[in-house]
Amino acid sequence: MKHLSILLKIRIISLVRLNTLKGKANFGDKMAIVGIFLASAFGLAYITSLGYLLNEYNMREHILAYSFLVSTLISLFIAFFSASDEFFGKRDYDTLMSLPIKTSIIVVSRFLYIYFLNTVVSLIIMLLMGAVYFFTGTVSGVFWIKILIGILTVALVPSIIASIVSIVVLEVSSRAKYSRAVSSFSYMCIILFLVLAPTLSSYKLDPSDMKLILTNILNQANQVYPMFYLFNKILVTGKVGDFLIYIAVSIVLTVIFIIGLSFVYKGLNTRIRSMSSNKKYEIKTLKRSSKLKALYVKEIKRLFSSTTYLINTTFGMIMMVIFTISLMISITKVMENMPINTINTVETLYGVTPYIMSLMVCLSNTSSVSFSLEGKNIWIIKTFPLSKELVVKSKILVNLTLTIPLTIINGIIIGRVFGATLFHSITLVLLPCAFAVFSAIYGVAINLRFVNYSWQSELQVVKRSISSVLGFFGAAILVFIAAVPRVLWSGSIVGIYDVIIILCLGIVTSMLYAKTINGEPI
Amino acid sequence: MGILDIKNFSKVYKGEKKAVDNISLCVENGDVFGFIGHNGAGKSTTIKSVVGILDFEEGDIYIDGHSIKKEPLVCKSKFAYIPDSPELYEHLTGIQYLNFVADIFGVPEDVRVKRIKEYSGMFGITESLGNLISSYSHGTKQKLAITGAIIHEPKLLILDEPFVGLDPKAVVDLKEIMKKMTAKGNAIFFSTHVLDVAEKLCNKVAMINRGKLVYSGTMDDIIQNQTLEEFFMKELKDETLIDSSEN
Repeated sequence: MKHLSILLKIRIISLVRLNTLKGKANFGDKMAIVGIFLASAFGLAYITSLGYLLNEYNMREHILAYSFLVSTLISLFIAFFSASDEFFGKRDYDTLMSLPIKTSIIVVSRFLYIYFLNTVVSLIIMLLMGAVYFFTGTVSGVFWIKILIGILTVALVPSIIASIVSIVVLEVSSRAKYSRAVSSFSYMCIILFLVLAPTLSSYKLDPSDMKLILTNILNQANQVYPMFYLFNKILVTGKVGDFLIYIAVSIVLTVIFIIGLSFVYKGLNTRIRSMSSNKKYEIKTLKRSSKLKALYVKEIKRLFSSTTYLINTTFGMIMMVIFTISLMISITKVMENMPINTINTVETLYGVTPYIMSLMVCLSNTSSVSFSLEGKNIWIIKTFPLSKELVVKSKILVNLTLTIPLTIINGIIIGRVFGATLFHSITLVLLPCAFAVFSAIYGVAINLRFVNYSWQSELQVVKRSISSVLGFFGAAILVFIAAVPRVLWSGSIVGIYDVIIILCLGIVTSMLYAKTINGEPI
Repeated sequence: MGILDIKNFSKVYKGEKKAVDNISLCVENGDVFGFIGHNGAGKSTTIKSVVGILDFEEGDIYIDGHSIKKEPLVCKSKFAYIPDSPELYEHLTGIQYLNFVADIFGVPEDVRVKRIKEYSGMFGITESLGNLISSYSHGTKQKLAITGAIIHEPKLLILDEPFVGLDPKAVVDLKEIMKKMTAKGNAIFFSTHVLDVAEKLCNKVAMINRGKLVYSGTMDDIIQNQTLEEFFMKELKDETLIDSSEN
């Protein structure tokens, strides 16, 4: 237990950067706090409104069940993206395994870290929705026990499920020659499945009947996820026996997972960390490239060498492809299912589509973490005769390689689906492309401002860094601001509005680029 | 003016006392210049400032007459640097890394092939060049970093603790490369703890203690009637005595 508490203490210190925050908070830290506050406020508002929505539809008794469900989904998502890194991507693996600490303690410390992250998020969700429940009617004394048990246990099983899926993906891919490519592809397939799974549901989700949707979601969760069924049973009956069964199942599953993983942990790490080697390399000819091409190729290889980097930064483009496919398959159905029939929904959807695409483009921001990912290799860029502009260009080009071709293809397809005019077809392509260029340059600017070369794992940079959060939210907020008038207005003026936005973005992007390459040296 | 001229250089880290205090030294073409001092003396800080990794406030550093502050790209095209623990691009294979370096320094195709064959053969890493760098041992990474550094035949080779982690044969090979480079009129500037190596290899030496230069001159002047180790310990002791009397 002593070892476990030491390991956890070190991880928590690393998470909240206690040692570096002891001094006076700098501008970056303040911005991080503001960013986290804004993102939290947005999330909290959404969660609270879900609670009130349930109350509105006379489903107050299901508020806690929903808080459990939302916490489960978010825990699953967080654990899915952090488990492989937590168990197999940490640089301290060699050190820890050489210390007189049991493997099971190391596994428990890794798992508890994921559990801790998820429980913090679950705590906020369940407390908020619990508060809605509390303030909208009477509550019994057992309510507090229910919510406490929910908070402490909700993250356990989703963390286990996500960890197992991540481990299986890593294990399968480690046997392949191109292991990174196989694992990246597997993760993409799983994401596609998770996104498309609701459409495979046997329940009819009629958008005009919100109460039916909310009820059907609960019914479906009851059937698909046994832990939800057990927790829901506690909420309905409040029997001590049900409490005990639920808690016992959660704990037993966790213990089985930890014991099982402890047995195979060392072997899995060895296999995953071992590299295939082609002996007897012979030097033949070597092709010469320009400095920019050499940097670009190096950056592209960096992107495709890391599953964490690739998956997190291609997520937006995967969403765009799904969005396009959905429109192609069911455009008429989508129009029919729009709940608001008082406005011209076709025109609205038609008008906001370039902005929806732009939002997805902003999600695929590789450049906002590209400098930080240089990590300890940064001495190479710093000591080689490379201008800042050249390095910046290579990182922007990689981002654009990911976003521009797919944006153009999707834009053209969506244009045909809508039967758009030539003018609108052009804006359908140009507007997201303009945001793609802005987002890439803005990402570099943000990353150079909040660069962090001393990280422990890629995930820390790609998902949890100031630049990755600001890289996405900064550009996304701009898309939102630009989209609002487009949703409110109608008529011929909106086409001109899109052109104005493209021109404004062009000017802002040029100014930002000039400022970035002329600023402080790397 | 030499190939490397450090003039009144000082470096202060945020809110702390001077890590390096008013250092001046000159490395000339053909020199093998040893920069010695104990841990935390200021060797790495000086070297990192010379190669453009660290910014500095006082003094200036000139590479072949060009200021690293004002003309960093010109300076960087004239030297090669190898850090004490070379962190290389682990997602690239050895040959991809070497080709990348050759591209950045504009080495012609036939020349790069010839040099890679020569140096990688010398270090015995040719057969591993097709593997990812992440699979290399520390020593192999060091050998690859050295091969990458000399692929463009720099006028000045700057090394931070170059002999740490190298096997005995590689140490001999590296010394051979250093000698060949200086014979062509190029210069070597390196930091080291290994005084025996410095004594045998260097024609000039500078000693740093607590950020201050305590000696700079030729090796011949030092080892007339003592070893470098004896000289180093004596200088260190004198400096400590001066410091304690000042306090």
